[in-house]
Order: sequence, then C-alpha cells, then structure tokens
Amino acid sequence: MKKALILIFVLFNVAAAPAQAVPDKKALEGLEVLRRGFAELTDFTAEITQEKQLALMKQKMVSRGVIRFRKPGTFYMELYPPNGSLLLMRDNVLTIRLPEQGMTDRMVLPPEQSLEKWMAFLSRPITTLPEGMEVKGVRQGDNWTVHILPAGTGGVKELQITFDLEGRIRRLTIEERNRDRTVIRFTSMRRNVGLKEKDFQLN
Amino acid sequence: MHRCIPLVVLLVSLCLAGCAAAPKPLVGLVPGKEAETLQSPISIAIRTPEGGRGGRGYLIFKRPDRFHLAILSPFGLTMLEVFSDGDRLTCLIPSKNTAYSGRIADLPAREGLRTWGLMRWVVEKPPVAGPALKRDHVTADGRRETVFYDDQGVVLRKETDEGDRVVFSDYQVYDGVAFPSVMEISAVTGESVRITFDEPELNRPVEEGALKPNLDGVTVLPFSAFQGF
Repeated sequence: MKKALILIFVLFNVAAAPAQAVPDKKALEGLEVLRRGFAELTDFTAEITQEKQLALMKQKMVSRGVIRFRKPGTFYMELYPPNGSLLLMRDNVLTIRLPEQGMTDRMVLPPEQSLEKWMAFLSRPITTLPEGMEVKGVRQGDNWTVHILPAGTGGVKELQITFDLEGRIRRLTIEERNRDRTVIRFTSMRRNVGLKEKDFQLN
Repeated sequence: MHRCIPLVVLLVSLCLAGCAAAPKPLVGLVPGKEAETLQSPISIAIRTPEGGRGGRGYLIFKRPDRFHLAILSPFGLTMLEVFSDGDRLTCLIPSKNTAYSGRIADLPAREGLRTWGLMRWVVEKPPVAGPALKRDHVTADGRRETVFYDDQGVVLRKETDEGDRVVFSDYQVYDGVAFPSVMEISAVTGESVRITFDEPELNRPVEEGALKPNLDGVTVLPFSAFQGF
C-alpha cells in the first residue's frame, strides 16, 4: 500500500527522482510539460472515475470521486459510496478513512517520501530522467502520454499518464504485472481555485 | 494484514452459511434455493487488538469452499489476493511478486490462527430452523453453538460457547435467495471483521479461471516463510 502510494506521487512529481544517465528527448519534453503544469499551480481539484479491471474477471469495478491538491504538500482523494474511501496525505502522514466501516488508518511515511520534498524539486527544469525506471514520451496532437516502466519485479509494470499541453492530467493508467489494470480519468479539473483547509478534512 | 487472511476466508464461508437467513420480511424467496455462487464488490474492515485495516475489493465465491478475494488500494492497485480451494490457501501479494501457499492447517501460529477454527465452524450449514427462534447445536468439530433465527427461519447470528460470534444483517433477496448485505464476525481473540456487499450477484456462472491464481513468474513460498506484508 505504502509503495503504491509513493509510486503514484512519484508519477505526479516524477522530476523529483534521481537522474538517469541517458535521457530520452521525448520523455524529457513530456515530463517538462507536466512539471511546468505543476509548477504553475498552487492547488487543483478534479473529478475522477476509477475503473479497475482484474485480470481474472470480466467485470470492471467502477468508482467515482474527487481529488484535491494544495501546495506545499496536501493531497486528498475521496471515492464516493458505495465502498467509499477517503485518503489524506499531509506531507508524509497518510490517513485513510473508510466511513461506511467506521475505520481510520494512519501511517507515517519516511521523511524523504514527503510531498513537500517532492514538490521542492518542481522549481527546477527537467534535464535528466529518473533512475530505476524506463520513461518514454509520446505526443499525439494536443496530448502527451508519458510511459513509466519501473525496473524490478514489483507489482506495477507500467504507468501511463496522459495530459494536455498545459500539463493538465487527463488519464492515469496503471498496469500491474498480474495483468490487473486501473484507469483513472480526470474531468472537470480546475487549478488555482483557492482550496481551503476545509477541503482537506476527512470528517 | 497477515492476521486478516483467516478472517477473510471466514467471511467468504459466512456468505454461504448466512444465505438462508433474513431479519425482516423478505419478498421473492424461493424455498430451498441457496447461493451456489457469489460475485460482489465489497468493502472490508478488519480490527485486531493492535489496530485496524480495511479496504474495498471484490469477492468471488463458489460452493463448496472456493473463493477469490481481491483487496484494492484507494488508487485501485491490487494490494492482496486470496484464493481458497478446500483446505488450501494462496495469498498473493502483487507488490512483492510473491505468494504464500499451503494448507490452512500450516498457517503460522499467530494471532489470527484462531479464526481458522471459526472458518471451519462457519462453513457448516446451520441446522434447519424449527419453530423456535434459537437452537443449540453441536458442530462437526464437537463445539457447542447457538443459532438464532428470525421468524422466517433464517439465521441472524451464531455463537459458540467459547465466545465466537457471527452476525448477519440487512438482508436482501437476490435471485430468490436471501443474502446479508453486512456480515460481522467477532472472534473470542478480540479480532473482528465487517464486510459489506454492494449489489452481489448470486448464482451467476463463475469461470474456473477466476478462482485460480495466476502464479506465472511469481515466487511461491510456504506459509512458514511468511515474514509479514
């Protein structure tokens, strides 16, 4: 769980990772578009639709919800009922709440994995690719798709993030090695809307 | 999470054991009809004396005792898959590309072990309801239990003399079968599990492949090698 979350945050802030020796020009270009999009915002909110396809099943699980982010390091994600969940990450403290189950789970991530740490890197242009993963960039019309293939044998085989020329994320696809697949579509994305503390409450 | 595995299996078993029960008037019940298969999105909450964990996921069940449970992270990643086939269990952790597999009896002797005993108790069909709303019964493993029914003859809860307890609530009728939307198990060890089903599909065909783990390229270890999630 913790690793999965970190991977997602790395995806959103991929420029923060250590450098890779031989950069791919298209990948760098795409990541820089994404980075600039993040660098220029103070907060954002978006509706999301999450489709989970388990490899062993024909039926998809579809959830809808909302995500919010505010600098320097607060991230919120709510999946609506049924089977709703609330996730809040404040810097390196992660809290997950299951309202229908009356359960709250809290964990503290290592300081080097804090959101603020990752955000601090966004002020710098991307000139190298992250280590420990293969990164490819593909531009199609007004959209970029960056493919991130982590090395090793972890659960995630590939991440694909699609965004427009202003760095607004449209879709996030997570391919797992077990052939499970998750697609998160972002709609109604609004940036710099002045999100308040009350927008990041779990209760 | 390790402690969750037995409880999860227990929950699946409860699905069937509870399928014949309903706490409120139900319409459309077909006498004698039972759940042979179950497929449902779920949310699950597991509480132990050390804390709690939960999530949402999906459950596939096929009589008599086979199931596939997937628990997902909020981002949709598969955190844990559990497959049961008779007395064998496989617990697959995709993020580690590792599975632990073996007989239920070979699970490490940790706090959750008590719940395996509960599982065996739960898979047993309760005695047929009579005119009484409460019946004492001796289980296959010799333990004494009390089964509580409602006035439709369906099971509301079961309790053992040792203090284990399962409660079925919020029944709905699916395909002529009463099925609880919520199940809660409380083990005498202090662990409890609550599972909520969201629009379950009963008695729909379940493909064999959905009940078998795909272990290609996965490191499969015995339960004795389990060091935690």
